[in-house]
Amino acid sequence: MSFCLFWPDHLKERRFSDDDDLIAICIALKGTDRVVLDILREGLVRGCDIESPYSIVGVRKGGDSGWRLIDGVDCVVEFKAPRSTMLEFFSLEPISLSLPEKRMDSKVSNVNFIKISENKRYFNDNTRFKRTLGLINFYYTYLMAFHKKYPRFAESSLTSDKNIFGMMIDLLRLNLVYQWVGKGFFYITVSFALITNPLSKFLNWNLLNLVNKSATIQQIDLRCQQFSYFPVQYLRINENVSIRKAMPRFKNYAEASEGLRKDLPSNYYPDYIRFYNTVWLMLNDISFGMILGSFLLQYSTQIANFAHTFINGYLYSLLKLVTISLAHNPFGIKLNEELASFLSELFLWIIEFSYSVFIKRVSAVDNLTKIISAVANLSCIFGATFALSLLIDCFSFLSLHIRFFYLISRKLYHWQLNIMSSLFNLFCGKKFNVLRNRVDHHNFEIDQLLLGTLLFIILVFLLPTVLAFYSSYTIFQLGMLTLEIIFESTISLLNHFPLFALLLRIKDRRRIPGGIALRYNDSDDILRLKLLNKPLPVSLMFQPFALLMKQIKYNYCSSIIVNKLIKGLPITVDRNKLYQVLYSSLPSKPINIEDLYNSTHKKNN
Amino acid sequence: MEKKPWKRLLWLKQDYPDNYTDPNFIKKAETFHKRLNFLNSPYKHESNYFKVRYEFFQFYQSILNVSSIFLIFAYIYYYKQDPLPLTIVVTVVVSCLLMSKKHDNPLFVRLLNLKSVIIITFAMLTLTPVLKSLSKTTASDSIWTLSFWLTLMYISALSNTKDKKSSNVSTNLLLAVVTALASRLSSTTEVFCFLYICIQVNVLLPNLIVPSYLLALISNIIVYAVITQILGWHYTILILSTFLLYIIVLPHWFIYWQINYRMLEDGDGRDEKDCLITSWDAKRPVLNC
Repeated sequence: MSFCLFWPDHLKERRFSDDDDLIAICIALKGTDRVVLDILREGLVRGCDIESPYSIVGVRKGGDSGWRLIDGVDCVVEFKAPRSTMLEFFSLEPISLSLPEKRMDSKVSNVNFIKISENKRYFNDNTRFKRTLGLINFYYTYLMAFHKKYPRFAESSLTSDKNIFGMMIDLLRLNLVYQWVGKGFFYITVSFALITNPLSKFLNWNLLNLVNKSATIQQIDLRCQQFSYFPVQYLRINENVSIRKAMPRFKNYAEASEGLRKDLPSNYYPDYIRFYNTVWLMLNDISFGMILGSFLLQYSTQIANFAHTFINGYLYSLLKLVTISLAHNPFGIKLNEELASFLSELFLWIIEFSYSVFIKRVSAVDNLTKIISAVANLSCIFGATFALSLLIDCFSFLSLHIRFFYLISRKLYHWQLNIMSSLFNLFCGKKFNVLRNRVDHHNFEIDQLLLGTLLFIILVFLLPTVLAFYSSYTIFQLGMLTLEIIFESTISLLNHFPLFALLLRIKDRRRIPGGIALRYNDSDDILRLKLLNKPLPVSLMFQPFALLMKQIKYNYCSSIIVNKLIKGLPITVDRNKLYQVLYSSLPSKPINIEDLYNSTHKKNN
Repeated sequence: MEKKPWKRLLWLKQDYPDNYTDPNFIKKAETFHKRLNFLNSPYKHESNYFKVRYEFFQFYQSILNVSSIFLIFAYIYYYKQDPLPLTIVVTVVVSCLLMSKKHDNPLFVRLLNLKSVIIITFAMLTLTPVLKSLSKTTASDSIWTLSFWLTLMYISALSNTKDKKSSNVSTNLLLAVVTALASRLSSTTEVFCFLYICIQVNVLLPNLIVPSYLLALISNIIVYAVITQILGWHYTILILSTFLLYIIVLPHWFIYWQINYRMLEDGDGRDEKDCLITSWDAKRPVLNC
């Protein structure tokens, strides 16, 4: 029977005097390969009974250069033992920075293919390797337990995974004040969650659906959900910390391995990353907000003037110019005079009304200055994202009349197309059969024919006019939509940037594993491989953003838009569908406070 | 091993089973039918001269009907006459015809009962202002060109089959012509009367009247009289001579062409058993003896 032997790097590098006889002791739990725990002098081990799960795996006589390993060792895999206190670990699959329930696989959408590819028959079974990796991840803990069991061997071993800094932090953790501060922080977040939970539920209420309507409300909702999730994350992190610390207390290895068999690191570390990412992003947000606020306050007059010209020019003068020119044969195209002048009068009246009621007031320069200073102050307190979303809402409120015009002209165009297509069917002697969902031949009466023909001719002649109005207002609406999408993408970038994961990658690559690599080491006697950690690739970290960009491109830059434009179907920003990708690090249902309370008390008891 | 294509021949041993159905069979059967129809076409015999002439004449009558649109338009627009008496006269005539034909043609009359008449009349009354303003802004020249082309399309879309299915293309084009022309008229009454008369003359009358030589003669006389009145007798003579040429000479030529030069509808002259010559050659060699 052949198996692999896992040999930690630091044991290779340790210097022993050459004429000592050395023995390598390994541990093998149920279903794992053997991992060498420690190398001891033969004199210590002699006479001592080594029980399972430990066993002797190799001997080196003094003066020999290589190890004589027991029979069956096929290959030796060297690895650098991860320090679990520094949160390093190996993982076969890349850790997911989004919640498993929200993981979106953009590549495979075919259900049948998923069924085949997830069937156990086609899997390469790597449970053994996974279990061995789990063992390796807790190498130092097992080493400590080994030394506890055989205290004789502990003196010659110099391995410890803690440095001075780690020991200081441990001391700090034991300090009572620290514990009380932690508890206080926890209870404060729980009380926050009491407020934010119902608020978030209300904002997401189906009937009002406020989140879809305003960007500010979406931002508030996001913050509420993040706050409500904080206590849960904190609990989960601390729960795992307590299990880790309780490790050396296990007397029997069966108990310990039971607890550790579940992939604790890959469950717990993403929570840790997510939690600190959120906190960091919020602080970043506030600092950006302060920068933005000070910038706005400093240049408030210039910005106010610019905004004044922009709003007046784009939302009022240009619109009025277009509407008037539509009534008077734009580009030399002869439109139907009555209809064009009627529609143009209607829209002009609405423009004048909206201008005099709110645009003029808002875009007056001193009002604008007041608004800018208010936004600047708010952004200092609540963050840049809040200020940006306020700006978006302001802008969409001011351009309400454009949206209104687009709605009217689009509906007219759509109805006209519909009626014309069904009258065209009548023209050819056919009718749409609703029961069979197809176009069938139908014998019409002569009065139906005449009337239908009359209406058809009228509609055909009126089509250019309606088309001219529809196209000009659609261009306005599309311009506004582009602005809105740009702003919202900026906000989502600020909200969900994977800053923490990126910095971790720079600082210590072994803390965010994205898989395993095995490298071949040249050697004479047996096969030697080196186990390396592949850090999470940057593209995977930005995967939600890539998905978001793809969705935006699919919704707004593809032939679908052209199709919708021609048919007269509405083009709007559907916030929920578009940005739900970015909520992937938050649970879909906010956690109930009672459950939280119960679990806290269970932990304490 | 490739099989030779299946041939529709008896007593020939082929690689196919006895109940084999060739996929091309339906196509071949269709071409066979077409060829049969062509060979038995009534246009291929000199004795059918009168039949051909009659059909040519019917086509001529429909063109005459179309020209009536323009005549009425000229009456209203150019001569600035009040169209109301004319409308009333035509309406009375049509309704009399309708009443008298009630028992003869129940299928059609059922379609045109009082309710539908009222609906159509009132709908037209409502929509006339809209129709009037539809192409008001275009210049007159483009209106004349537009109506010319629409009339051409209308004539080509006219169908003269006995069982008229509700193919509405011709009515649509008629209405398009009327709409285009109606934008030149000045008052709503005129537009309404124009529309009304045109629809009656072109849509209703052909369905009600049994074409007989007497009626054709009457309509011809009316039209030519009006043309003489408007354009002068030179034009009348010209048109009359064209018509006579058309009605006397053309059928002979048509039959001659059908017999000798009629193009086969499918280009399938490559069947070596079915015909020796291609479709563009005369079927019987034409010898200049």
